[in-house]
Amino acid sequence: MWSALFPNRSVRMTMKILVAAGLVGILFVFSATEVDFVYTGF
Amino acid sequence: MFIDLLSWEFLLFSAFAIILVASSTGPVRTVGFLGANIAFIFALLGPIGLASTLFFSGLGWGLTRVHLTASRWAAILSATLLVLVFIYMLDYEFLGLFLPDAARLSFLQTVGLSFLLFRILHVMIDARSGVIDRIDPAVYPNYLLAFSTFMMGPIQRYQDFRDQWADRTQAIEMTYEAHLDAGLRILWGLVKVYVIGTFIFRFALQPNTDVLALSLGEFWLQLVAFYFFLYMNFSGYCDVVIGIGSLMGIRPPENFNNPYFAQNIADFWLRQHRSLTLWLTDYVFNPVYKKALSSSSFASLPLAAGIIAAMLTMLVSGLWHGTTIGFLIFGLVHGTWLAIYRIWDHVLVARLGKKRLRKIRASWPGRVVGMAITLHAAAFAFLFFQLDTPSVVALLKGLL
Repeated sequence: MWSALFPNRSVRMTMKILVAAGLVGILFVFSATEVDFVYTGF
Repeated sequence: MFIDLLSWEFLLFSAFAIILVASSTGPVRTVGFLGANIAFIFALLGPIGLASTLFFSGLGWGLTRVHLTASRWAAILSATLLVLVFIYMLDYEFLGLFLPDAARLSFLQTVGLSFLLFRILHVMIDARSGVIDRIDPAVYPNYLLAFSTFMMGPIQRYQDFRDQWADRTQAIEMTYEAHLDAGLRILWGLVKVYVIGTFIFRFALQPNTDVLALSLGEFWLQLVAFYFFLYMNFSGYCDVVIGIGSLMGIRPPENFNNPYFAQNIADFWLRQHRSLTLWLTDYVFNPVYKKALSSSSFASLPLAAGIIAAMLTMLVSGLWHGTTIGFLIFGLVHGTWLAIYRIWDHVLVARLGKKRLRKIRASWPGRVVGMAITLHAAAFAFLFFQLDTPSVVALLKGLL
């Protein structure tokens, strides 16, 4: 998907870094969220 | 205890493990990673959880040695003993029918044992049959206890782990972009778990729900929401550990492939928790199916043999997923869906022919109908996965 959207490697890498930064930002906002894992095997 | 799954501490620990595995070689790498795995299990489960895990791993190793050197019956006995100890340690609900309360040691119950059991059994069976040529004592403990897949899989095969550990196969390409992709996958997995999953969880079925008191609309919403919550929760976790494994050089197998697009229930199990499905296919379905076909009663009845094998496989799957009656029913419901699918498929092939049936299924209405039916059938089975025992009993009493 990434290669189709951004055939140029430098542009693609830059976009990926920007998306990663965005995801880190989102996770920072939700950092206090508590989660239960329901699939722990028993 | 001291660390939670996918917490900041977990991610910091993972970064430490990645650096440790990537920067060391030989015995330092092996012993260092084993120490890190044991420290992780202690931090996650506490001293009793760690002791239970180490006891079961040690027992598994000992019984695997017996399994490899003993006669056929002793081999069967050693595998059976391992499963019985597992059932006892997890304190399955049905043990109450056979054992007095004083004989049940529920404090041995700890998470991660079900994945551990399937890893041990896989090595046991494949080493005896020759699929695994040699169990490397330097690799095996880390294979069993690897922190990234210890709690919730995916169930990696020993050969795959060993070859990546020994750098015979590469987990990912040695490029900046491949490493960035692994990092992105970790972040996206965390977003699935912490953001999307927790949002959907607000609408999802809760363990103590009185299902019979819900309207049909509420029931549908809660079931479908639980289905998607579980997908986000589990597949997000898998994304994170696959990303971590890729950076560490021991990438676990893929576990999900858009299960909501599955067009029948057999297809669903090849897209959902795929590593478990492949394990069950190799070690339960195929042997049972072959055994049934080789018997005089089922030799001319492959459909019946397939249905029996599928029912038994799903029963094992249900009991593996959990210790309560709800999980048993979860397995039986999936077994029933597979049986209905196989019979329905058989009838349609007889009436329409394979070519015409394939054409209908490939058409967009055929695909949409198949996806909708499969999604709802799978979501319905998760009802018994999520409800606690009193709620399951109340539901069954209300229905009967």
